[in-house]
This record gives sequence, structure tokens and C-alpha cells, in this order.
Amino acid sequence: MFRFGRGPLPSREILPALAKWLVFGAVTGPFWSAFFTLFTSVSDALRIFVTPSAIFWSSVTGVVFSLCFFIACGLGNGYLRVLMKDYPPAIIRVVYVIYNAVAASLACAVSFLIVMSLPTGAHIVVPFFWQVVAVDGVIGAVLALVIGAFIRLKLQVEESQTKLREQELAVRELAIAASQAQSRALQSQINPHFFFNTLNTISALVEDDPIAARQMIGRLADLFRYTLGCTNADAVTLGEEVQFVRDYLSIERARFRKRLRVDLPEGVLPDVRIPGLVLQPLVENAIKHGIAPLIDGGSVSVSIARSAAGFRVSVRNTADEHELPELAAMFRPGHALDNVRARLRLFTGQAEPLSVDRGADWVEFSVTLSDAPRHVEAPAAA
Amino acid sequence: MKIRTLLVDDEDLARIALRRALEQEHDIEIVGEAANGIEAIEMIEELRPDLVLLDIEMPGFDGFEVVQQLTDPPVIVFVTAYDEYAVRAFEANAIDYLLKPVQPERLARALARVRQRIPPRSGEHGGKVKEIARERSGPVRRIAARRGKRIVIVPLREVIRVEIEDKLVFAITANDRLLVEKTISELETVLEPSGFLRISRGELVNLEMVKELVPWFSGTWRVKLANGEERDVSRERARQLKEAMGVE
Repeated sequence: MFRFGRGPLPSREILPALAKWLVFGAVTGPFWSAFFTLFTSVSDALRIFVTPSAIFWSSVTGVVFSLCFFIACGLGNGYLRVLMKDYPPAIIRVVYVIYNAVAASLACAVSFLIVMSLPTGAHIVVPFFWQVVAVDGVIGAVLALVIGAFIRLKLQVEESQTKLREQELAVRELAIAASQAQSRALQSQINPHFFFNTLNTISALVEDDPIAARQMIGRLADLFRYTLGCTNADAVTLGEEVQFVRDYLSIERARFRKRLRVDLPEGVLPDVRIPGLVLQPLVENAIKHGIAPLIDGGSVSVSIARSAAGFRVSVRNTADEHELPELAAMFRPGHALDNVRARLRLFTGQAEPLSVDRGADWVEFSVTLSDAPRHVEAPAAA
Repeated sequence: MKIRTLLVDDEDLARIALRRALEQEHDIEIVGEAANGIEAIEMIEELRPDLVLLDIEMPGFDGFEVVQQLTDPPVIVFVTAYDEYAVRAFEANAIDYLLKPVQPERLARALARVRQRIPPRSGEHGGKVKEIARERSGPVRRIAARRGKRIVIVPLREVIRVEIEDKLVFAITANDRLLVEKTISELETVLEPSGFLRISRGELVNLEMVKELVPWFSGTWRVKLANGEERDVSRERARQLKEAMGVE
């Protein structure tokens, strides 16, 4: 009847609710009438149950009161809820109690008017006007308090259950994402094109410049060791990642010669962590899509700058805007950049961790790393 | 009679390795080396080699694009470090290819087959090579043209039309007029899959650039082009043009 904590009753539920409270009033009417008659005489009260006309008229009185209550408090509380939704809970509860006490008393008075307009046989509770008003007002207020408290408890329980479920879900998602990151790191190992091209370069060097050939074999071994070490999805320092890019570029420069110009950060780098194998795929992408198609080649530079949010690491390269594929093509699922982006997303918690800037003859990919990034451990199994 | 050979690879180390391997073969004469797709086209047309060892991944035009622009390709042996799709296509069509790093016995085997193809008995090899190139890189997107002495790459989406003047063929862009060293019929074959159509004996238009089609005299039509020019369409070409434009 009181509808605490819920909105207005949907219109198609009003008729069934009215029917319910009509039955409730009819059944409990004689008991209420007997209760109030107790104020004057116990024998009169008991007589109500053995007099058919008294049972009938007290049931009718019960129905009138029940329906007036339902309309004033039941429907009223629903609309009150909507009106009060922006107020703090403490105020809402005070308003509820006052409203229900007043509404119950008013419902009571209206019910009296209705009952008094009925034939005199129905006037069983009429002599007890003030008692009925007081009792009903108190009942309304107490019920408002009790039911309000109960509903608050129920909402709290539901809320904490939802929170728990969400937490469980988040933990599961993180675990899945972490294991995906692990397998992605595995996928992002040395690109076969690069591998075969390097073997080709070494093969060409063997006769003319055996020392250079041996150096290159050593570097290739270093690269492989690094990628194998990165497969457990752990973060590495920026310094390690830049050194890896330096080794990688020294091999690419043997292939591209003057067509590839390189600018890497020198000296001591900030102690920031970055997922392994993030920078090199960006540089490789820059060479493949930006510089390789240019007859005269171009330059690729890696730079690190302090920013408000942490450190901004950028890979910038020469590119002909007509030659450059669409970004969507570069981020095709399963391709290196998509892979890098997914791992950075997980590591930084940013929805779009890779920002792209482009001009007529250059492209720049940047990622911002905070000083203390969120770090998710991969599950032990694998 | 020696086999005149052109080496095409953007990496000088790769060319050095190839050259060294070929020096063992007494009937091979290396007539030149090209370091990108433009040089390759230029040298193939100038030197007319019997054999081209053609790298696939290159700046300018890649190996497939080079083949697409050749009117009468010589014997081609593709060279690639890693292109499993291309390799599958070569295998399926009995096209010769070499994998990098090039192994001497593989080179010897490829050369043995090349010797049987030279001199070319028919256009069969050229046709097959062009077909594969077409399959691998789709319709031609760019052509090589001449601005003065320089060869430049012209993206086809910038070309408005192609015309003949004094037996020379020119590609016309919004602000340029470039010499193309091909006959108009050769160009028609190359450009048709890329959305160009012959509108008269001496002219091709880029269908993307056609803005309007206006009826003219005695069954001929006129096209208005994106740059404001109006060109005549011969009676026999009008039907094809209307079909291509989706009218009729």
C-alpha cells in the first residue's frame, strides 16, 4: 500500500491493486470496527461479529477506509518518490513520515464523510471519529518509518551484491585481457619480413665484409633474446625499449643505407615503464608504410617529452600522404599496430592510448605513459 | 649469344649478392641495375634486356606494378624475401621466382628454365606474368610519365584524360600535361580496369572526372569534365560510355 522507494504505480497495475485493497478492507473491516467499539463496551464489540447487518456495514466501512488509504498513501508515495528524487535520504524520510501521517489522517476524514453519507446502519465507527483519526495517523507514520527502513536495507544489500558481481566480472576481464596481452606479445615477435631481409643482408656481407656480417648476426641474436624475454607481458624500462629500437634500426640501416635517417633519444632516459615490444613495432610501421615507399627515403625519430600526465613518447616519420594507407587499414585486427594498441590500452587504462597526428609529409604516433602506471599481472598459468 | 640481364632491387647489398652469384654464369651479361620501380621501367624500356631479376617490395612502383606498365615484358624472374601469397601464385602458374637469400643451386635451376624461354617463342610468358601482377596488386593506381627529362609517378585519380598530339600521348591533370611513353591502345589496355574509357580515336577519359554527358550532333555526345573542358565522344564510343556511367 505504501510503495516506499519505488516510483508511481504503472496505470495497468492500478485496477488489480484497487481490487486487492478492496478485499483487504472487506475482510478486516469488522475487526477494525470491533477494535474501536472496545473504547466503550467489550460486549458491543463482540456483538458486531454475530450481527449480519453489522458485519456487512463494517466490511463496507473497511472497504471505504482501505481504498482511501491506498489512494492517499499508496499512490501518493509513488509520486512523492519522483518529486523527491534529488533530495538527501534523511530529508526524504522525514517528508515521508510527515506526508504519510497527514495523508492517513486526511484519508480517514474523507472516509468518515463517505461513511456518514451511507445509511445509519453503517455508522458503527462514527462515534469514534477522533480515535480513528489518531490511530490511523500514527499507523501511517509508523508504517512509513518501518517500511522505509526495510526498503533502505534491501537497496543496500542489492547494491553491495551488484558491486560484488561487477568486481568479480572486472577481475575476470582483467585476467582474460592479461592473458591476451601475453599471447599478443608472443605474436608481436620479429616480423618474418624483417628476419628474411636481415638474413639476406648478412648473406650479401659475408664475403666482402665478414666483420660487419658477424656484427649483424650478433645484433640479430640480441633482438631475438629481447623478444623472447618480453613474452611474459611484463613492462620494461623505456631505456631498454629504446636500446632495442636502436639495435633494430642499426640492422635496417644496413639495408636502407642513405634512404633511412634515424634520430633516437640519447643519454639517461626517465625511469618509466612501458610494455615490451611497443616502440619497435611503431618504428617498423614507420619504415614500412612511411619511408620504404619513398624513393629518396626519409627519417624516423623517437622522442620523449615531459607532459602534464607523465611522459609522452612519440615516433615521427617522413611519409607521403598519398602513399600512406588509411589508419583503419594499419589498425586491422591481428596486425602489429592493433596489437600494440590493445596492449597499451591494458597497460595505461586509456581507451585510446595511441594518438596519431599527420601532416602532408609526416606522421606521428604518440603514447603517454604516467610515472606510476597501472600494472596488471598476467595469470601464472600459461 | 649472351642473356642480357637487368637486376632490380632497392637494396644495394641484395644487388651485390645477386651480381656475384650471376658472375659464375658465363652466358649472363648484366646490362644494368635499378634501385626502384621507376628506374626499372625506364631501364627496361631503354635497354630492352632479355631477362629481369625483379624484386617485389620496392619504393616508387613495386615489382608487380612495374610489370603492369610494361607493354611487352621480357622474361621476368621475381625475387622476394617473404611473400607467401605471391609464391603460391608463382607456383600455380609456373612463373620463376627466387627466394632471398638466393641459394646458388636455386639460381642455377631458375636460369636453366630461363634459357629455354629465350628467345621468347610467344607472348605466353609475358601474358602470364602480367596476369599474376594484376591479380596481386589490383588495377593500376599510378603510371610513370615524363616531365621534361624526369620520370615521375602520376596517381591515376589525378589524371583527367589522356590525349594524342602529333603521335605523342599525354596525360592531363588539373595543372600538368605529362608525356607518357606508350601508344594510346597500350594505355587503354592498362587503364581500362582502373576506370578509364576510350571516347574517341585519340582520347581516353577518367570516368571519375566526367561531370556531364550532353547529346551533340548526329548521334555524337559531349562530356563535360571536372576541369571544365568539354570533349567530343565518337558515335561508336557513346554507347560504351553511357553504359559505363550507368545510364541506359
